[in-house]
Amino acid sequence: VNCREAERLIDTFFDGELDGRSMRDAAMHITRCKRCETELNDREQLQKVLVQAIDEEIAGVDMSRIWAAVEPTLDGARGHRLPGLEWRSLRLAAASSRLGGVLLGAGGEGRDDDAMVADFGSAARGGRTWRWSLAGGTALAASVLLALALVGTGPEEAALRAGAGEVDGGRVAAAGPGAPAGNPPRLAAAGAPAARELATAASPGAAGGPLVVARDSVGTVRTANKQVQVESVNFPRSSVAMWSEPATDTTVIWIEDEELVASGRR
Amino acid sequence: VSVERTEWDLVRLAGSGDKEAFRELVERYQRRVLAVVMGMLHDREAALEVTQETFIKAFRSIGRFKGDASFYTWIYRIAVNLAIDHQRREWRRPVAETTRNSGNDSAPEDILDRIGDENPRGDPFEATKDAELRERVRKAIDELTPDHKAVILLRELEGLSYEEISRVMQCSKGTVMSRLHYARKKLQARLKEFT
Repeated sequence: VNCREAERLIDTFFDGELDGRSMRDAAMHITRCKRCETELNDREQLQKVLVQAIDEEIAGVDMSRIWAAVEPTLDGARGHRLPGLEWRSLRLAAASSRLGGVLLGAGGEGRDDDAMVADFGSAARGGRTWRWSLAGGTALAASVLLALALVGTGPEEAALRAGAGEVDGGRVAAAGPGAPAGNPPRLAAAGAPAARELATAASPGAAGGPLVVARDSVGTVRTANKQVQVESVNFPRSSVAMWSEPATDTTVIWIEDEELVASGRR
Repeated sequence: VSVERTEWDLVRLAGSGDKEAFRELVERYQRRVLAVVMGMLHDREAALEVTQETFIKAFRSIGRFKGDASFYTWIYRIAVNLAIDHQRREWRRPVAETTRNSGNDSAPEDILDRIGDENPRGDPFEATKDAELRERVRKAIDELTPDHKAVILLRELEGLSYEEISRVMQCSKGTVMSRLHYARKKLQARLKEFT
């Protein structure tokens, strides 16, 4: 190793990122070469000063302020409540990403660094049906993440809480068996090939609580707090739509695959 | 007998809405996250705000955290992205609005006062020189782009490997290495001017 090569290796040497042999070669050169040794010392000095500078800056910070500010926000951080919306009038926001999936969340809340997010929330509040397509994507890997913020009030909300978070085998269906007063809400997640079966399955359960149904072949559904998430859809070219059916008090998520439709298998 | 829960246990519990578990995670990582964010922003209030926002965002998304990366690289990723966003917002603001309120952009006189308080028995000349050096480093960091800042802080403060930094920054290891090299050279040049 000469000076030129050592200079190229000095960062990785200093950071311990060289393999054993290169490490040894670089070390042998640096211990014999004044110039390279100075370079290495400069790295050490920089690191020391940098750490001191930042330590000094955060020295007086009261760390308890962090949790004190975070804690009150946590109740609302997952499954956001939309102001003025009731359980019966489920609303959604939506986001899509070819690779990352689709996130439907309430009013644009629940954004997440793991997914590209487009906010359909404000338009969804107009009570219209939304439909959009996932452009391309690869079979099986096509990932759809739907999150419905289920907003409830009073006993309905309590029922929803009671029933949320149940996942049958971690794969297929999640049903909320709460017992809300009055007309209970229901939710059906439907995949195109299984629409009829799902329609049947989506009829109210004995307990009359919110009901979420999805077939394994459609994708993975899980619930978390007041959210229903369809995390993946096993079709390469899927489109997703959602609408409310007030007559039956049902909100339908419709996931359709263009190729299946085109091939007549639907 | 108290059994210390593993990070993954805490992540899973927090994912199911356990606030106490999440609190433990916050307490484990708050200082480290704050250090990186402070290094990027050099503004105490802004850094606290971004750190808080980081944990709030993390709680929102923790149910979807799959554990294929370590929790700390995941949390750093959120923090660094938020810090970069914050900085970009600040840059877009008119100059009059961006006056900092942290008290960290100290005038030289303030530094001298501070050092006098901190090192009553030390060599005042050396202490002052050290303080000025640190101040100079902070200013030199400010001259780096957010991406260069993030890379050097994650490496020097947190000791993340190139691989981990590449996951946080979502770039290749080669990019990490070149950013790190550039940032070090730039900062070292500043230090040399001073010494």
